Amino acid sequence: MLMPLLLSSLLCLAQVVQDKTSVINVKGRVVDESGNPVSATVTVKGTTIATGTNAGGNFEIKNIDVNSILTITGVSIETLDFPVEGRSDLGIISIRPNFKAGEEIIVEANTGYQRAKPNELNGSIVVIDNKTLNQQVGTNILKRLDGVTSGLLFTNKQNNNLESDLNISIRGLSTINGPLNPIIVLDNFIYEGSINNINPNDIESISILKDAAATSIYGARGGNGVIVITSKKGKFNQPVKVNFNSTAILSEKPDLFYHSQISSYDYIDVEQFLFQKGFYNSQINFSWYYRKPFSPALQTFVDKDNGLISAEDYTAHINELKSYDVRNDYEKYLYRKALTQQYSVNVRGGSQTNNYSFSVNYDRSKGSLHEQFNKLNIHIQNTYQPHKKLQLTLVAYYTNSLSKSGKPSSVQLDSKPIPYLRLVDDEGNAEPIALYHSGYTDTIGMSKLLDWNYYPLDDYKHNTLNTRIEDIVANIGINYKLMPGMDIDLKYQYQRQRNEANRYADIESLYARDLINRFTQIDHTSGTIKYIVPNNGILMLYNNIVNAQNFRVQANYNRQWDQHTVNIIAGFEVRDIIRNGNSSTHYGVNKDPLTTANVDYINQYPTIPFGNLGTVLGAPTISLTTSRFISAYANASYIFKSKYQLSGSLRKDGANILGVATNDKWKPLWSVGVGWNLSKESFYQSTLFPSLRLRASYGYSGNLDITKTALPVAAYGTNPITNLPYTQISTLNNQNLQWEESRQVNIAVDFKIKDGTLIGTVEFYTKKGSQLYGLANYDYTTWGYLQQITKNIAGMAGRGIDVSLTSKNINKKMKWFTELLFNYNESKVTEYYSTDAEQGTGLLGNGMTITPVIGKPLYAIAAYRWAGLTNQGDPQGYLNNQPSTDYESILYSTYTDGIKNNSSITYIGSAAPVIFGSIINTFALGKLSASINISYKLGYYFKKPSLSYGTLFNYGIGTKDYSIRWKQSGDENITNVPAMVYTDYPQFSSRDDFYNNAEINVLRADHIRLQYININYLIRESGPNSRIGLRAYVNFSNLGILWRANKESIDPDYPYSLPLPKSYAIGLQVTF
Amino acid sequence: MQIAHKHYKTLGIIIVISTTLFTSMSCKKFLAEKPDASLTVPKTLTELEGLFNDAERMNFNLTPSMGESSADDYFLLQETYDALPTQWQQVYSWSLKEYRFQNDWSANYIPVYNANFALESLSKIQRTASNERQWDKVKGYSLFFRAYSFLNLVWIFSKAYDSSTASTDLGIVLRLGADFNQPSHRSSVEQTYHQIIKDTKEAANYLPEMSSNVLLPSKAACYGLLSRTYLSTRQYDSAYKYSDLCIQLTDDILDYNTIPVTDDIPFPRLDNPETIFYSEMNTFNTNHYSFSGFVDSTLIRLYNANDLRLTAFFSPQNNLHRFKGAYTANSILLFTGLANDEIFLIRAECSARKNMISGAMNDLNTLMKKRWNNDLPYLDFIAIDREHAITQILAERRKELLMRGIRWSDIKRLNKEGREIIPKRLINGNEISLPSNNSRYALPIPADIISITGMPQN
Repeated sequence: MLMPLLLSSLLCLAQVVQDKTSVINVKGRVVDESGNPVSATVTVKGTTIATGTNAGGNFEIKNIDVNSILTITGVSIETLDFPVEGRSDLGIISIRPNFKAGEEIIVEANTGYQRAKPNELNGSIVVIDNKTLNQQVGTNILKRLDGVTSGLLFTNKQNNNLESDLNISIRGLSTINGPLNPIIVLDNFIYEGSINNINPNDIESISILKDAAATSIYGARGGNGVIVITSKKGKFNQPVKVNFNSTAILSEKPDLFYHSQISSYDYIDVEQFLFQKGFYNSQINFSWYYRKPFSPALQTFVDKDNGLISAEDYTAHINELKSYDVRNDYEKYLYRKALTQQYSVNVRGGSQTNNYSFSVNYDRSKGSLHEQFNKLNIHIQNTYQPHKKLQLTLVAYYTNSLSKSGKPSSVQLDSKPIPYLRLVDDEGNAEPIALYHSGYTDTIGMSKLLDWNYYPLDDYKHNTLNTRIEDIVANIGINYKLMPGMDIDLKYQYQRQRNEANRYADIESLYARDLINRFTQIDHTSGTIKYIVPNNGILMLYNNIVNAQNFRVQANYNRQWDQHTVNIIAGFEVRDIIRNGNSSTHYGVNKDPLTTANVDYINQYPTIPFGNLGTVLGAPTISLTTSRFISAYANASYIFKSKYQLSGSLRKDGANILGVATNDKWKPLWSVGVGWNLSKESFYQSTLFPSLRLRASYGYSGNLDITKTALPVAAYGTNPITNLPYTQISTLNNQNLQWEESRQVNIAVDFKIKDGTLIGTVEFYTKKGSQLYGLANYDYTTWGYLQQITKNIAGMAGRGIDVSLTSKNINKKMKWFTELLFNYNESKVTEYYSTDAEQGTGLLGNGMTITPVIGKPLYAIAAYRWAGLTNQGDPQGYLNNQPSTDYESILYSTYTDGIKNNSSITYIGSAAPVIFGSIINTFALGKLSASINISYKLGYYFKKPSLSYGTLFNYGIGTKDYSIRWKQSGDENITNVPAMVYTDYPQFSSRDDFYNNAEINVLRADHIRLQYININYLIRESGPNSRIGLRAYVNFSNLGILWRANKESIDPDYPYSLPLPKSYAIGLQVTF
Repeated sequence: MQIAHKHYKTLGIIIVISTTLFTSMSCKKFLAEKPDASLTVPKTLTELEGLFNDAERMNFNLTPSMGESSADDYFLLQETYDALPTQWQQVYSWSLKEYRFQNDWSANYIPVYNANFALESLSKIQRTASNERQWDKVKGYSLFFRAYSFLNLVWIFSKAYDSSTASTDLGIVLRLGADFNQPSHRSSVEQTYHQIIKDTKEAANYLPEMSSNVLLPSKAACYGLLSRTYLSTRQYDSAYKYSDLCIQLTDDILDYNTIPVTDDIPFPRLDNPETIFYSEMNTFNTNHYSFSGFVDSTLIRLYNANDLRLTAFFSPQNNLHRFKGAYTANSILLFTGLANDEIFLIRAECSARKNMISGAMNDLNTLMKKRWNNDLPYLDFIAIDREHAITQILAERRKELLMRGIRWSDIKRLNKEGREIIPKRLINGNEISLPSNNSRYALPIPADIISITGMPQN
């Protein structure tokens, strides 16, 4: 009786309890894996009760059953059922993105100032995700952008501006004389160190900012585009994740036979011709005076003439020489296969208030010439959230690398690359290379001098350059949420890179022996000697330190209400970059015990063998440069009904290299952008393009040459008449010196075909560079000393199309995706003030440097018109439309008539690709996937190396064309290579000049290249079933050219240097 | 927690405001750092003073040559004329139209730049008890050199001063700042002279009475320049006053009996006691230089046989005479600086014009005694009336100050009072002349300057 009562009262109680708590109010916050708020719909399962999360990811639902299950759904997230289980505060609900294998996740773009989804931006930004970055291997992060980045081109051009060394152009050029490098940003700030410091294994993604709407936030320095590198970060609420990665890359020896080089047989032929003509007479007869070594063939000719060897021996020896090819020796004794090993460990994790990422990387390379490179990176990131409104981030990135020089890539005798030279004799002993003729050094030296031979195989052991780079980047960030939607960021970064190089040439090295010998003072009567350069090793030290400090304060405002979304950032930034350098040379250095000796850097001494007076070089030097910037910026965007987007940005820079007037002027660089999500309109009915978005932007960004100064520069001296110190202005102050301006208009369409089988972006842009640095006539009423000064005066224009398409050709068990990149870019000079710019004579070069000619591309080639060979084997051009061999008049006509309307010259075209891009095909079947990248460059020209007799005679450099030169009447019908003539031939050097710059030597550069093949095998997937994930990959790169327009087997990317050898990589990735 | 929260908020706001204030306040100073430590930007007083010790740009190859080339103290033989470049032929025949850099304009605007740069830099340096001597020197040098160039330029590129039209006649560009981005525009003749006089008077306040060397200006040089300036504007009372002030400071006249007059180079260069301030004519127009032109024969005939200047100034060559009498110790280069002989002649002329005839003749005789061969008795110049005095003084002025860059301005000035000095040339057998007060007395400004600035041409 008691039992049922008890039971019923319990039930009753339960009933009461249940009644009392059967409905509750719940709240929670939905975030993604990185802890960022997610926009989601929260529905109470089985009911129609639903709500959405706000901008902070928070939601609240009132009066629901305590045992309800909440279903969280969203556009890009996996649906999650979340039981309430009676709790009213559900805390943070972490949601996984609805990423299905093989499908692309949308990676956030990082502009360095803010992060956003690319599809919410109106500017042109390409984001290269981690997966794409890892399709290529190697130690340089930027190289991994090659062939996978729309609008980005690696070039092979020459430039002596230190800030153009990356050889990367984004959407072509924006400047003529300014620096060409895009700016490199690591996470938040411009990276001032060497790009080689950054380890690709530490990098999560890279955003490339291309148009003015994207780059104008970088103000006076964004004109060449911006590459923002985002490092790996920890995430809140994430279990510890360890990633281990190891890669080995093996590169073949380079193809030394790639260049067209005159054969040993032909070279000796030429030497014989010159010997008979008396070309070497002064060297032979006055060897006492001339003192240069003889080539082996020349020595044989002389010996024969002097009756020292018999006719038979002579023939045998010459034939023997003709059979050698020094490149075989190079390959055997100088080169080897290169090996690079990379190891990387990364640990990431995060609790509710803290997240971290810690990684250690080690790279080790042994280069093809025995050079070495070792690098250690340590990356630490920690984010701590002590209060829900406050977040602290600390990041430190440390690099320590050491590189050591290796063997020479070629060996010269008397500065000539003699093709039959031998590095090793028949017995396998290293052959010495004489620096001066032994007949001379033996006599003058009175056997007092040190051995003056060069031993190319061993010298590198005695003369090594060690370069150590130590770089530390440390930054601290504070984020404080002032009020809902508004927060403040304070960021400070300190970077210090120390680049310490030392070259130690010990007493065995040629460098030391040569310098000691040259300065040895021999008393010929007493036979005593005096060393000006101490008879010991030489140590050269170079130190460069970069100290960069950045401070930024930025307010962020982000608000959503009804159908409005507003996002505003505004901030201030101060940058200070100090570069210190010093160099010194120490003589008489002995390493053990460490000793040095004093040297006279001031007085001149007679040198051996030429008797010239010389001073010992290497007095200490120091340098100090300071770059300072103060900037203010703002960026705002407004989205209405998630259909219409309006954005704009503003940036004002002041810098210590700019003129006072420029710094004082309020002349901001700005941009505006609009976006229209057409497919969200109710009237939009297209089923073909279910997603269609139009966007356009217009704006300005700048480019700055930190070597130019607005200050007047003066020299000091003493007036010889009055003995008073004088000051002489050598460069005029330019108060208005300002950044170059690059205006860009960008119009783009983003679309998606049904089922997402084709996703694409097509962008059209025009660029206009104005206020570019250039020499200009100016009103010399101010300062009558010079007629022209550097001003912001030149102009250029560019336009182009960037297309990127991703197609899912087959998306079943077997997958086949194709990504197509198509880029078109054209540029031309619009304003420039020089006679060369008007006449265009600069275009007669090889197209490797910028030669501004109005109306022509910045890299362009013109050439002399070609009228074939005469029946005497002389090259013919045109003079007044008539075939002519008056080379001097043809050459001179460029100076009088320019290149336009000149019958002697024809303009050929751009020397930089007008069309370029790549096709990446990815196949996946089960656990195996493979990507193949085929790149193409079209619509341009290059100049091939051609035979110049002057260069061949004087510098020993010739091409294979020698063997097909004109030899006898009639040959003019089968060859274009002029007959060999001696230096006394009329217009000998002009004949070479004409031929080398004639149109027959300009070839189309168009080619298609197999960029890389990457194969991945997922051995084990980490997931609920197994903690450990295992992935193996192989990569093949530098695989060579698939098609080229030229018939001469020249790789147009490497017309004058050796192409990179094929390389193979194998790697393993372990995650747990 | 709520309190802490509030604190965070306040802290945040304070950080933002203080950062903003800090950055904007120290902005200028922060950006004033030199970008490259090896760049030498003249800043200190010693460095600024050094700008004026650069004699190559401040004193030598400087003052206009086009005026002397256009004047009537020399002539060219037909064969010399034929061999000249067109531009120089045009200068000779007063038909010059277009010419470019380098020229009188460019050369004379170099000292103007140094002066303007020094003045702008000086405004940032506090004048203190310890630096006032050097500070004053730099200030005085700047003002003097600028005025000196302006006067040389206005003599060439503008019409003669005429008080009735000076406010509308086109003057030169009065560059008063070192920023070339400021556009050039032509002032009036009135404004030009006003600036020259104002600057020179101010310079006199800053400079020592005499300078340590004649390449640098002094108070005496300022007075000399003022007398020169006033004379060319025909303000004879002021010209008198400043020549008088100048003579009070320096009155040495070189006695030609003490120098080797027959030598090719009879005069010393920088230690000539007559020289107050030293400058040389540029060599952009060389028609009148001794390797090209001969001294006008009618001028030669004006010298008395006992006048030592005849032997000191000229070297005869087949009845023609080449000029060798410059105070440059060089057979070619011409002296255009300020010297006591000129100042005595100015005071003499002005005295005469003020009808102080005895004073005028005294000054003339003081000078001429030192020019006369003292083996022979010297007879004093005497004047019967004002005009007689003026005529004699002007004649001696021409004979004393030839090839000094003064004649062109004298022709313009004297024609303003109807003395009808008409330069004539014989070219290809035809005689051409330049009528008095013709607009061609203001020579054309360089064509490149006109095309860049859009300023009106003469």
